[in-house]
Amino acid sequence: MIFKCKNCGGNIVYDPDRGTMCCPHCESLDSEDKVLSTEYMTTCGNCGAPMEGAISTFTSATKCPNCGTYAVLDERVEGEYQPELILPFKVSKQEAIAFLKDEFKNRIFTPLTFLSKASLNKIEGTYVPFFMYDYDTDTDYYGTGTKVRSWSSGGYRYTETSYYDIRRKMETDFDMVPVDASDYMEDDYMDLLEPYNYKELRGFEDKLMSGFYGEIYNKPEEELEDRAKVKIKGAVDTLINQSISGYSSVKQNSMNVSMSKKKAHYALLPVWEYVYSYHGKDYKFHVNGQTGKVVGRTPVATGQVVAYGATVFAMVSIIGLMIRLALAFV
Amino acid sequence: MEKYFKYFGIPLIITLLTVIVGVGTYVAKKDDVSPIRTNDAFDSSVAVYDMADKLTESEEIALQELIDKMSVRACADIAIVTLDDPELGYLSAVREYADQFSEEMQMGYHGPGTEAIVFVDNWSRGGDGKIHSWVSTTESGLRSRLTDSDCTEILYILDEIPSDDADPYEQYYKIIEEIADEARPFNPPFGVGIVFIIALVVSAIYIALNWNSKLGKVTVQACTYVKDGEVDFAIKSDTFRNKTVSKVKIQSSSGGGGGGGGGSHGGGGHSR
Repeated sequence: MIFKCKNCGGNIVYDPDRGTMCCPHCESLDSEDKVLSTEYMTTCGNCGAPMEGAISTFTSATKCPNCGTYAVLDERVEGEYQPELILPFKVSKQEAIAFLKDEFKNRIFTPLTFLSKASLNKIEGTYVPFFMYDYDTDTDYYGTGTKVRSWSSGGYRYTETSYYDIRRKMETDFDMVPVDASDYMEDDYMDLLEPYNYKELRGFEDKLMSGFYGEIYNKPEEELEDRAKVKIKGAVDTLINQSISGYSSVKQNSMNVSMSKKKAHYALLPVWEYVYSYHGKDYKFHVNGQTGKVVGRTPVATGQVVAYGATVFAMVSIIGLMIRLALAFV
Repeated sequence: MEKYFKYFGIPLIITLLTVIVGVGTYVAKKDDVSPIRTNDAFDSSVAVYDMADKLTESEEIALQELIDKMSVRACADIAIVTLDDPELGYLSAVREYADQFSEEMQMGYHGPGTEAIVFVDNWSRGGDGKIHSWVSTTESGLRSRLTDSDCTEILYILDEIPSDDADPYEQYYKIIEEIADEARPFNPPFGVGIVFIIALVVSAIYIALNWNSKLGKVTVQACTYVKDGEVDFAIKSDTFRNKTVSKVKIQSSSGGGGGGGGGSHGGGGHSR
């Protein structure tokens, strides 16, 4: 399906700045007309150009490589693939670029073209598929804590060690623990983009995907729940440790965490992706489409390292030699 | 380039100011480094007084040549005196002799009483069975460069003389060289190599600190996904079990030190 403007026939997209559907050609708001695909989408619904290159196994929303019209693949947002929830983009393309510039402007070893306008304009918004898991946990913890006190008296140093039995039983419910269901998106990148503000989650609406790329889940939720369990286990460990304080040392004797899955929600979360190519290698950067948090590892330009490092070496050497010269007469 | 100069603007200005200060100091003080000798009262061409007859004639000539050269480096008159005087058989007597020698000979690079260094080595063993030696220094500027402790330390070279019959030329030569090195007005506190090593280390640290290709910060907390943000502890207890006490005897330690004195002359002595 594509969304056309009732007034000018242009391709209507979701505008994060306005928080509504907007025609970039005539500036009309909420004037979309949904045009459904009559068959499995192989050609652009606007210009008729072939779409093979723009659609992969898991694509749910894409852009025509010929005319630039954004299209949502009907059969990949319906039935088993229909998300329960969607978090609309709140950060616009220009804001995402600004967040990237702000994050990396002081990194002096990044290539000069990294933040150039031409490079940054390649940034694209994508709805990444996530499963969000609800789990109830029950944790039993047993440990031993020591408190050490020292003092001196009569020429001797005394050390008193007190031992305590530590017991914790914690019943905690975890809601909406997110795990990305995209093989293309790297897990550690997606984990670092968290957290999202779930208060802005909505029931799925296909029109919100117009203007962005999108994917369906690449794996069923059962295959991904182990990652959710690892995240929950980490959180439980931290919560238990945070509840134990005032000891010189703590030794864990046993900890049993039982988890019971309540539900998994299929949702789409907004991510801006900037792919920067440098010396034949692609470097991926992601901006949280809701909060603007930036994640990515920058390439290092050897020439700049040499230039800046040599300058520092020269300056320190000159300053050192001048100090030596001045002190030689003291 | 614009980014480069914007980034290094202040450090470059600091570097430039340091160059101005360093070069300015050098220009202002360069005359002090190799000044012209202005004392006519002391004949510096006769600076080796081998009254104990420990040196050969050629050694005396060689030491005189060395002293001519080292006097310019140290900006000070330098003299060597060897004695075989049993009446000066203790260190303070040798010291007094050296100070008087300097005064009576009217030594001083810029006139009598100015920069002078006298090394006296009395080969006659004193009541304590030792040979006493002294380096006397005059003028506060010289004494600040060639300190009393420097003199004492340099004289340890004399311990290398194997016996009373041995030729001390080699040790005397070394002593004069070391005295001149310490006394010279242009005396950098550290070598050029140290400067480059520090610069290398600073550059390496700078590069390491700015490498910064990190992925991103973790901003999820343990309770981010906890329902209503509340953690419910059904049991939360810390129960005292027992305690142990150990004791260790405290080891005591003690130490001490000493001081020195002052006067118009400075220097340091040695007994072997």
